[in-house]
Amino acid sequence: MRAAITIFRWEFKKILSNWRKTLLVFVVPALLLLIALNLFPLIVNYLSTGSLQNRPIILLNPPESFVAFTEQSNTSTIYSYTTMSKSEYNRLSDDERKEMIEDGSIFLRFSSLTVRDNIQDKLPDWSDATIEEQYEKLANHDTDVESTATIFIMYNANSYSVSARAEQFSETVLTKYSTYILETMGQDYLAIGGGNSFKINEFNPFTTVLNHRSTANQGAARVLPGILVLLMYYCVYSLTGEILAAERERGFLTKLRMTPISESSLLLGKLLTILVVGMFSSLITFLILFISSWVNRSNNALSLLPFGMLLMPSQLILVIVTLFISCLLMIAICFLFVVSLKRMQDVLINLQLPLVLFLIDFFAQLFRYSDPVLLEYLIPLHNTTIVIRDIFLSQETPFHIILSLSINAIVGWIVFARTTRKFKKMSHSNQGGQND
Amino acid sequence: MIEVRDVSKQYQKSATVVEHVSFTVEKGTIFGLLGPNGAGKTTIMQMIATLLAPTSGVITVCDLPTTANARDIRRLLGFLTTEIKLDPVSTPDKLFDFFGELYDIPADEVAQRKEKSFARFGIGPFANKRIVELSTGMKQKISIAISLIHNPPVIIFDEPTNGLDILTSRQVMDYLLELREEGHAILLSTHIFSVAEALCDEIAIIVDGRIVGQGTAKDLIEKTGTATFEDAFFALYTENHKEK
Repeated sequence: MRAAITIFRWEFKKILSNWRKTLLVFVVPALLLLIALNLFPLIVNYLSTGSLQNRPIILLNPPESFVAFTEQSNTSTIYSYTTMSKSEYNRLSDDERKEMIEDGSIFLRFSSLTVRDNIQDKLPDWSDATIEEQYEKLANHDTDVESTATIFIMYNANSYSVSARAEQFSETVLTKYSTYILETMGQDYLAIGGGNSFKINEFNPFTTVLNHRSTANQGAARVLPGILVLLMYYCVYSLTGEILAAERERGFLTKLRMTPISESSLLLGKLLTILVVGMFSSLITFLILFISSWVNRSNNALSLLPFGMLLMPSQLILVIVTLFISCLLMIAICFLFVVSLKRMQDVLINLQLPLVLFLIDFFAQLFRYSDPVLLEYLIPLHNTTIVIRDIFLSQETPFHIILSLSINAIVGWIVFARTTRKFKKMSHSNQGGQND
Repeated sequence: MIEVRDVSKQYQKSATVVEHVSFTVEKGTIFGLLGPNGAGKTTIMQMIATLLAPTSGVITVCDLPTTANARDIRRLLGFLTTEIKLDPVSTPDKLFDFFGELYDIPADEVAQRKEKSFARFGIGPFANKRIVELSTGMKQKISIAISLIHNPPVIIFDEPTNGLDILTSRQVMDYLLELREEGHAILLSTHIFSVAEALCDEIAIIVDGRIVGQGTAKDLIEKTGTATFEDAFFALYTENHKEK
């Protein structure tokens, strides 16, 4: 073990002494990713609307309650609004309206209609009745008014980015607004003895964070596990190429093998180096992605990492343990490639193959909405992505975690043992006789 | 100190590269392996250095068989070959300390040996330069210094003067003679006649993996009835080389 520590210290100092390489391995991939994640919504928005900025949401004849709601809630930091009166809207020609919608504008039309109106054919006639009036009617025991307060969202459904933005707006803002009017104006309704009591949510910053967290973690569950595994493998394979394959090519590995240290200690020392650097790199990636989520105040509908991503301490520990075991397995696999293949070119090509598989896995998870099946937890390294996904969705189970970690640890151990056996038999010149 | 008895080596799916080779290297002597490229010199040295296992036969170093005591034997050996290069981004100073630690040599002793070796080869001014920035001759001198950091009783040098200018070659040859005087057993491979003739107490001529002549340079000249050592080598080579 002492010899392994000596090798580890030597390799680690070498990595640190070259700050350019250290930056390249530790920070640059994660920073590039951070930039890519933030550019993605901008680019998609530009391609679909021709503008880098999101257009404000146009409120048509908004009721006082909605204006008050936007002032009180934090939605005005995410969306910007502009108000248009009924007369201004009516003055617009059909072509002008069409053009505005094609440019990415979203209209929000507050209306009252009766259930008898057919909204499939065309928008119902404008009504001056407001949501406040609906509550007055409710307070007067007029049960016919149920479901007559309607908000229409008008947008260009052919544009992916505008559709996504409109859906996000509907899910987040309008749902909250619905709760808001029940909590505020519903009090009058209750005062005269109508209906059931409404739940009043006390202001609590933690509750606010948790509200965001649920949505944010769902987004992160699709993106983050694949990125963590991809970047970790990139780090592991780069370092394996440098401190094992290139050293063998140069003959320095043979110089080390001529010392009295055992082959196992030599490999273990190098493994420890890559493990420490790989884990450190992953944690930096994780931190950068966490920051990326928390600085994403605009919370664009196309954001790959929505605002508010958060893990509980126990979940964070589980992610780190999962990555640790996976890193060991990745190193063992990379080492096996190196000791099994003689030519440097073959080594580098083969080391890149798993990178392609991880990339495929990343895209598969990005567009996945189904839950994983049991078999997936048995596939080494793919199960890493699945387990981290489960943790973000808060649906991890001890059985799945123990199963995945055990599989990865056992496979890693078998691969490393086989690598050590092969390494003992390996010579820097097994073909022999070229220079003698 | 080195005993090679009836050793052969065959790689999978290829011809035999070493065939029934036997020789002994005594303490305080230099034994030379002389032969063309591809004759099997490096393979023999790698088998002695525990990097390769012989297909048949026995090799012992200081009475320890190489197949059973690899790690113990590595403590007794100083091995230098042209195929082994130093880490290009490290400095001689750091490399010396690192290898000292790997051989479990106390730090103060490493410092003493480093000072002595660096002074002997004039490495001092380059001690903190990266290997990649140094000349071929300086790299070779650093390789020799590091190979002998643990003061091994047995030294194996594979073509130590290969690619060196005449001044550095002379320095290396003088150093080998010093080591012989100190009582080290030295196995040397070369294809330079003058080096073999000047340094070696005994020479084995290797052709196609077999020893085709063995003795002092004078013995070989007499046996072949030629005028010079170079002529003796070519006579043995022509007589024993099989065209493939």
